Amino acid sequence: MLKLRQLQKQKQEQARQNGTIPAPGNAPVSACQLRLRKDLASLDIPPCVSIDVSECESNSRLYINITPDEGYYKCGHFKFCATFKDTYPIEPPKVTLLSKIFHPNIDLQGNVCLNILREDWSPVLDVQSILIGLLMLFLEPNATDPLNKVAADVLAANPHQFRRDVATSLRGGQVNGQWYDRVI
Amino acid sequence: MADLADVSILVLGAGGLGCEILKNLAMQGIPDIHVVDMDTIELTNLNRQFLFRESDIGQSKALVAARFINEKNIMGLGGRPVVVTAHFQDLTLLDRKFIERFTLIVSGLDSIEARRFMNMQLVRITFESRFEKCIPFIDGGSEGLKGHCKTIIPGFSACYECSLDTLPAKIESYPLCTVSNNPRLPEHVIEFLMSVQWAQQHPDRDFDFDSKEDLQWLMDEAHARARQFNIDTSKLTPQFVLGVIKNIVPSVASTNAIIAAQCCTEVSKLLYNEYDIGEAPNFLVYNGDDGCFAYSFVHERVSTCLVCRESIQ
Ligand SMILES: [Zn+2]
Repeated sequence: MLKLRQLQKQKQEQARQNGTIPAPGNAPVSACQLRLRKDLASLDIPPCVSIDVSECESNSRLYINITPDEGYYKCGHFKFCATFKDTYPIEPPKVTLLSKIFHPNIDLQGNVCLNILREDWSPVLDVQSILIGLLMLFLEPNATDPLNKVAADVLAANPHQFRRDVATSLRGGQVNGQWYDRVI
Repeated sequence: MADLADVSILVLGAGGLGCEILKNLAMQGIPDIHVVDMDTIELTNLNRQFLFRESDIGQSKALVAARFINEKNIMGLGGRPVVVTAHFQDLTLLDRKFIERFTLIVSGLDSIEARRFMNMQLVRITFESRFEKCIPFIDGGSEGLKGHCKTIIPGFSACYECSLDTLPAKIESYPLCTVSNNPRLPEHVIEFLMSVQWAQQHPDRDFDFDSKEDLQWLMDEAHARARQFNIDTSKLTPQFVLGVIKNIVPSVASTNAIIAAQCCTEVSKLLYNEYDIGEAPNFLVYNGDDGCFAYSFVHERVSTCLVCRESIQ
């Protein structure tokens, strides 16, 4: 191990000459927490999105508020909860919508069908990618791979009817015998 | 050669890879070897974990592996006998003072979290000792017919976290819409139950893989849901279901042997000063899926790495 010991000596010698010593860039928290902090520090949040850090029960839970400024869901207030386990970013966080919505890709329990949250997740993705992904769901609901089949069928068959149904649901009304949460 | 008699190596894991690594290090004559593993021996381990026998089932892997090697009375470097010391415990509970006494650490783990933990500890040891201490970390990994070996010199070359972005997604998962509305495979049924239905029925707690009741719940629900969607239920045996939820990839003895050999070669290169830090290829990937292929390369340190980046004090 002589070679390594020599390198260590060199490094210490350099440090003495420069009067500086390299130190770890971070406080001792878990690698997952470090990554999450970095994600949050580098966020570029669009005006219609806000993140509740104050409401965090623990460091690994985030609340994401989205108020779309266009599309079918314009002006609705939607709050998502994202839970990060210590496997992040190898595994994606679990994201659920906290209110009941009439949407082809989100079921009545708030489960979200978004490819990057499951089959297309990769550790290079981050909180920013998730924000953009969620926003896209509101701008372009997708009827081809539905989670809520009823909503998808309406969207595919009659976009005007879909727009009316969404408007009703956002006001807390009833669509196809199902009551929705008022989010406007 | 004098200091070689003082070498001590910590081996993480005494499973398929760990057994091979322990055997190699002992045959290389490393006098002081420690091994940490919290698992006990199961019948299904015996085909590839060659330090264990049927009569060892139920006992600690670390303790049995250490006993097996110690009984061979191997003479090590500097005329010192090879002694393996076992630690039957969770490695993330090892304390810092204990870790610091080793010359090298070799890991044969299957958990990414445990590796991230050890990587972070070792990087901090280098920085906080102001480069007085530096413990190389050689990380072996094997999954089916594929494997890797990473040689990490904390503070000098790429750390485990530097390469995190290159890891493949850990779990095969299916689109939520498919598993919810159009399940076609038994895997789809299980995934729906685990990622949607469990949380709905048990909002207060996580699924417990060690609980008989939880597994029974999963079996019952899986059969009901499979019948509902006309999916063949004959595949839904407890073994199959466990395999899907634990993402079990078959462990192959030859892959373990190849990766362990590479790890122990790296140990020798470091000990005998045949390793050029920063220039030698530090990562090796092996793939036996299609023919037999190995490739080694230099993985550069990532200057923005959250664990090993430097701030000047
Ligand atoms: Zn790093």
